[in-house]
Amino acid sequence: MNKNSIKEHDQFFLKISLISGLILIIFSWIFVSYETGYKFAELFNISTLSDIKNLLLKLVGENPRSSLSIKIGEWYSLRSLAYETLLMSILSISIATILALLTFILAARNIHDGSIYGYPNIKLKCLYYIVRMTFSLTRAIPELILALIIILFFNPGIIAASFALGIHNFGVLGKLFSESVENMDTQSIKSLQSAGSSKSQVMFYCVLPQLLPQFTTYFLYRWEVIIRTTVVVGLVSASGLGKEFKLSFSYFHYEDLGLLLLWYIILVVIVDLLCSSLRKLVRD
Amino acid sequence: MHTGGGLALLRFFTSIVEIDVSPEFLIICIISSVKTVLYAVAALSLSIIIAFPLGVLASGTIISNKSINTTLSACTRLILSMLRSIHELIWALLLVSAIGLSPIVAVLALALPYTGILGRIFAEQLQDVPQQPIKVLLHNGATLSKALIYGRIPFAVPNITSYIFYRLECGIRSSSIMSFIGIQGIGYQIQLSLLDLQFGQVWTGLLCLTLMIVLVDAWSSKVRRIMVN
Repeated sequence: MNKNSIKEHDQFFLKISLISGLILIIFSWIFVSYETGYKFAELFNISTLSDIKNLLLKLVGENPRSSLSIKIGEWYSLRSLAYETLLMSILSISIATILALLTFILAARNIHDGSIYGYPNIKLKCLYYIVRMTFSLTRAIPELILALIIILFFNPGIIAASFALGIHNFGVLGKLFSESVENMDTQSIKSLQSAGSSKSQVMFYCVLPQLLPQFTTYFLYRWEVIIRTTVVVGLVSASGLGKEFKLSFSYFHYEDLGLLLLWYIILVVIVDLLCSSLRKLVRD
Repeated sequence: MHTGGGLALLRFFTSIVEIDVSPEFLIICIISSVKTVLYAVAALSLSIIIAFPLGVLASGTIISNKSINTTLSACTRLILSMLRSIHELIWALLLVSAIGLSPIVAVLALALPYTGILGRIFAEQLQDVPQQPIKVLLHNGATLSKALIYGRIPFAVPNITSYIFYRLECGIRSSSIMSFIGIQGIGYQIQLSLLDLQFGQVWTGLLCLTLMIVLVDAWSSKVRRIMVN
């Protein structure tokens, strides 16, 4: 196929994708309105607005002036739970990163097909498919469903939650890492090899220094995502802020819920700020 | 690990050989996978519609008065980051306790954080366009809104579209966990089978989910490759 016909083919594919996307959107709204029983209009009226207002009032406490001042002390006493949640996120990102760093090199296409080492390797090819499949499987299963499965084997607590988060993010990080290996500049590897360096020397003096800044960016990005998800995984695996969240939901203690949400937002903001400053450090 | 945990782990992994591929269960799985995808698409389309004006405001490329512009864009950025920082399941729990259980609640709960994410991306992409053509447009007497419509948006659309396709994959994952508030879908089936300790059926559900994600990923990465080149 020449270049022009490839381009035409691509354009055709693009058109088909966009049209099928639009059809999917229309169909999905038909489906959602069918599921709600065609009662969109009833949802968006004045009583809904007052319901939302009621919930917000409950979250800050029925009588804001008295309850908020009392609750400040209580809020501060929840700091151990927030600390536990932060610990959980760090534990899970480290599990994910260690597992991903051990396997990412096997999941890159240019390692086994000979574009780096000069000859294709059948054993590495088999490993490539196995590792890729593991990445896809762990990446596709959401953290919460993993937590539901893992809670069958482990005691409820920090460890179970971190394993659930860690395994999911292992798939995500592994895929990102191996893709950056595939997009790597191979010129410098070739020149090192022609100068007679061994495989491990190429790995440590050329591949890793090239990739580390990118890996750090991915790591920080996933940490931001994880700190948001730890609370939700805690709902299932009974640890950190999530446990209290679930309990106060079940007891209809909405004021406690407001305090927990406050801690949650504080944690997210702290991690976001930390990550953005670290990212600047990496970039410079 | 608790007593019996190791045994349960072993049983879970050995039950992959008794994976449930009976036609009845496969049909249930396929129907619920389609439902999951439809919820994700509905939420994503809603969030695109809300995120676009917010993104334009946050990018600060439409209002000429400088002080109004900076305050407005800072406010929009704050709203977007608030929407983004709360996980979709927590939005769902809050909305259920406010409005009540309805499929539209799931769509809204998915759409709110995605609005935050997409709005930020829209704003960044609108700012990151090549500056030369915009300057030419402004120099020749185009207003800021005209420069936005004829200069910035056409440049930003390929990147934005490819990002939306990437988000579709995440949306499917998120909509499958809406089972926690009782919304039908593949996550609901997995949860039911897990509660019955039918590990064979759990594996079927997990593989269905994986297959769906892999297919969507292949589709979106092809679209992205064509779009960005």
